Amino acid sequence: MTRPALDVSRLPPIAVDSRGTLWWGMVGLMAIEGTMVALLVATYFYLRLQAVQWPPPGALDGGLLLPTLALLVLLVSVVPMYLADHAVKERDRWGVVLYTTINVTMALVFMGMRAVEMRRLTFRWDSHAYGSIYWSILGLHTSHVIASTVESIVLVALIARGFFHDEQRLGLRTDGLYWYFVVGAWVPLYAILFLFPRWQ
Amino acid sequence: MTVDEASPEGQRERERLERAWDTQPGIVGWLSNIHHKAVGKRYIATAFVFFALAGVEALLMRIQLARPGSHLLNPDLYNQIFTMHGTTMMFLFAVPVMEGVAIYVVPLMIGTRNVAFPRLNALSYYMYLFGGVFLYVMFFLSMGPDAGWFAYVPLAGPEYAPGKRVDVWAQMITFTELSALLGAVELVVSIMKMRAPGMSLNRIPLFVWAILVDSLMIIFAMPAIMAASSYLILDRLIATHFFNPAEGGDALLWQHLFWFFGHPEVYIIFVPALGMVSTIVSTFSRRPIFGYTAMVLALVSTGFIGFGLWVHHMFATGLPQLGLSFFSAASMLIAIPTGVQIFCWIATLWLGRPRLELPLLFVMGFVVIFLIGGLTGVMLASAPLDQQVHDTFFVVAHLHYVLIGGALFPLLGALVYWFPKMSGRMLAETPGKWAFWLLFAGFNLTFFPMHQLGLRGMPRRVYTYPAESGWGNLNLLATAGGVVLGVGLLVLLADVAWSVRRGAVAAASPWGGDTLEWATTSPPPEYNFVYPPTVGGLNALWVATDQQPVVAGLRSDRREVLITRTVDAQPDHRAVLPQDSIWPFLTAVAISFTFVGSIFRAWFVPVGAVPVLIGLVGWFWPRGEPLPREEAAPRRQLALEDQP
Amino acid sequence: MSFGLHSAVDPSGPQAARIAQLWWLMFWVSAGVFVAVTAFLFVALFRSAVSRQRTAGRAEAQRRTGAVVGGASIVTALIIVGLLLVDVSTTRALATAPAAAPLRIEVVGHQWWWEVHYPDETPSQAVTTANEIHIPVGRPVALELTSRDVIHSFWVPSLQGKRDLIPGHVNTAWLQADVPGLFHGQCAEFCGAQHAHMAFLIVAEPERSFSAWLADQRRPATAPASADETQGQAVFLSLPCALCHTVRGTSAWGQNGPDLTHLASRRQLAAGTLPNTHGDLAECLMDPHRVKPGVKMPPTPVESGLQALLAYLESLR
Repeated sequence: MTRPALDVSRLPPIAVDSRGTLWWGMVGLMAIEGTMVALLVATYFYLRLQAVQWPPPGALDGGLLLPTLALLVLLVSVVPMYLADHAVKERDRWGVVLYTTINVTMALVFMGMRAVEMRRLTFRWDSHAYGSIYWSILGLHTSHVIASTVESIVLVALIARGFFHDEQRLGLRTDGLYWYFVVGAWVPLYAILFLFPRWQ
Repeated sequence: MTVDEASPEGQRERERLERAWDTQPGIVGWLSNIHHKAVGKRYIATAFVFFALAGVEALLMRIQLARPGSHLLNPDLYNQIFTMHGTTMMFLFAVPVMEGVAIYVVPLMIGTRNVAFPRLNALSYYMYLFGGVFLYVMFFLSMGPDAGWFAYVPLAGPEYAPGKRVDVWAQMITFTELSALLGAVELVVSIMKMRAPGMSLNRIPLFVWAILVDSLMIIFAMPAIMAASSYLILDRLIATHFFNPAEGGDALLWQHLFWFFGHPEVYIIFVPALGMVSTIVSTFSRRPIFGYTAMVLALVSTGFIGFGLWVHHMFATGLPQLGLSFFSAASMLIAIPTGVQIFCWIATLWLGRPRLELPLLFVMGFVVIFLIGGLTGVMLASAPLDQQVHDTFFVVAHLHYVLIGGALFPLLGALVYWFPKMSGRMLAETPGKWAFWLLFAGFNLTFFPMHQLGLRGMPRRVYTYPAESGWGNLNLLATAGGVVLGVGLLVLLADVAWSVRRGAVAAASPWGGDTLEWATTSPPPEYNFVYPPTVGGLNALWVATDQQPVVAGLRSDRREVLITRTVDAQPDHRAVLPQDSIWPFLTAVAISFTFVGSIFRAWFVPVGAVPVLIGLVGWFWPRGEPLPREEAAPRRQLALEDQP
Repeated sequence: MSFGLHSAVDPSGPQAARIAQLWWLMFWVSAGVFVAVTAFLFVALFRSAVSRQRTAGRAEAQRRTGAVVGGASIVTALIIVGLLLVDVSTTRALATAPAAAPLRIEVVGHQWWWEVHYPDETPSQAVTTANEIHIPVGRPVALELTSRDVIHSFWVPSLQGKRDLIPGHVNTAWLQADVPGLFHGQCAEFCGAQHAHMAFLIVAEPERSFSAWLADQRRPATAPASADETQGQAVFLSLPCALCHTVRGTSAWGQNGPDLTHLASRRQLAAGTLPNTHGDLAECLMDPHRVKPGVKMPPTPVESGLQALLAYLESLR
């Protein structure tokens, strides 16, 4: 039978921003991962409540300088990601490639610094409960950094190769969103692992 | 502009849609299918296979416990069986079956063609399937878990649970929780962004609200058990000390994390059932649910409060008095929104014209049984009383009353209700009613005596008990009830098997329901609607007139859907959904390889990451021609007039 | 085998009695709610067509129904709050230390038996036993609970609510029996293969006989009297038994299994699994895995010396 029609044919075929479903999916992922981070933090404080001495003796010997520098690198890496996002909106393909490459480079530098940091730690995950939660926080965050960086590398490779259609643009924007999350999550984690025990 | 499905243009539209949404034949085609209805039915079918396995496990336990001092099952086997029963029912049946019904029904009910991320949907299903298969393969290889579905440490830790049994359990959790989390994100995004034009927030059907609340609960609750099971695997495999008191860990950390997940988990199972009940009560009372706003608020508040109760599972662990009282209070208060819902359902029946057909009969069974379960729940919320009956058969009675009454009965009613839509045939009513009465009687006969057993001192998770305890007769009664319950389930299964082939052919809307799934054929085509519907009020089909518009202008040469705005569901943009793809299946295989291997050797994690990466790259690889550049037309605001 | 009283609704002590009161209150309230709600449900479902015709579509009926729903919700909330108040006051009462000076008992959970200590200011006066706990009638008992391995739970339904025994924690609980008698207790937290066979017995007796019992327990093991018993002691000390068990006054100082110093004074064996008779004791020794499959005690490698061994163990009163 005949019905009036709501004609949607003139609507755009994709949304490359927060109106799109992929954006929302990424927010959902951030909610899940954010909850994981919160649980790790809760575990840290729970175990601390049980402890006689926290952190255990010798745990802070790894030093504060390198982690702080690494944090700064991570924070600064947000800038090229933001510029890449801007370039996506402007459809500036080579701008996207440039800024994302800078971001990836900074991420790799960060990972190198973290590797050194890990070598310098005076305890392992099986040394004591403090070690277990410390290394778990480090491990979860590092795996997020790696995953996000790999995603950025694959995307920038595709974009450089010429695939710069709406799907890739949206993909890079959501990738950027995830990078903000990875950096943002590290700020409180850094404070808890490095500043809190020295100031408690 | 007008359209007409029956016109030649409408027919051509239908043919184009058939081609664009077609599935491929053969094994590869089956594995590449990413349609929500197929995925939903697979979830449901798989869940019931696990339900049957868990049911057999239950019967074995009941036979063992029917008489004191029974030697049918040795303690090791019994401990594995009760672990498998609980684990299977909670992780492999209850959550996935609700997920499956939601995946099938929600896109239809909101008037769209698929979920937001069809390939992710398929991945979720495969992860669930592989996780369940993994668990059962290991069980049959005598490597199944035996520390209870809750795996308390230190019993489940490296010192007291040698071998791989508990690792298998913990990793199966990873499979199923990943599946559920992805499914939850899927449903939230679909519900928020893909509703029919005009389905503003205050016009969303109660079942969809329930699934939305449920999915949000999953997102915030399941990470807790991911964390807990990860800590457990780490403690067992690489000697971390999360739960080792000798090195600063704590056995109670496990319980807090587990129950922070575990309590919302039971609401995750229960809340979709609440949505199902509202749907059935409304349809079969032939009037809208009384108190829609109160019902929505009740669902939301149940979701919130459910996160604040978990310590009531730990009342015997030696908590300070303030903690006991706070969690008692919260645990009792959650009865209030549930009570509100029950009263609104009764009001709906009162003011409506009820027809006691099989779905409504199941809902009546739900009310009676769940009411008892809820009342014993208020009893258990009281810390002193809980300290007597915690970890006894009283709790076994309670949990089955709320889970079977509160989730299974609504589920069965919902499956009967949506059976015509899913299969195109009507379920034969009379055998169904027989099944219902057998289930109702069998259930109560099995589980009511258990309240008594708990009060008279019978603890849980015991493979036998002495004759002097005097627990023998009630146990025998419970076993007899279990047999009746089993017979009821078999009758229902037979009814389904027969009706799927020989039942009466179903019309598009055999019950006269008000939600949008009834606006298309039974079963719907792959693309759900030739012209997707719009909505002019709550209870869409009851308020719709001939002049209610349908959506036209979506391209039918590719899989296109309409994305609408979050709050008012006005059309916003179009989105292309992917073609069928084998990559979700392959990625699931790669992830499973990594998960299974990593409980044997830690290096499986970095090594397994490689095939996973390959799977993801294949998944997201840009395909074929770049899309034709469309005219960057100014975005037009499209709005619907409200119905007068 | 005397099983002992074991019902939460048949209390024999003040804690359980308080909880039983709460139980009955909640039971009757729940019964009332159940009847009321089910009645409304039935009427709503089966109301006659005539009656529905009267209320169909009328805004007044809608409003009235709204008032009833609202009223029912408020009544529900009030009932909940009422029950909560009773609950909180019961919780407080149970947590409050009783006035009278308590008897202190320490219980350590093991897979699958209960280590029991009666501490004393004078260490040599402390008593260690297993699986059978004597308490004086009418006097509060302060329990200190912990575990040596996994989580267990101490539960005597006739006397009190349960409390978990958690490694790394020490939990406290109060217990009191108001009448003399035997009270059955059982582990109420799944603790592995023989969780089902981890029971214990509370023996409540008048103050005087309790003191006598305690004095008895303080003595080291009875020296063997007959030839059989002497030979039995020699057999006992030559076997691996001493690696796990203690018999005070001999060289057997094992800490992994129950203290056997006064084994013969106990009514049950194997944590409430068997009565303490000649035949059952023999079975425990020769085939512990038939009694409790998975238990940590190996079969006793004795052949000709069995009767002497039994005689000795039965002399440990």
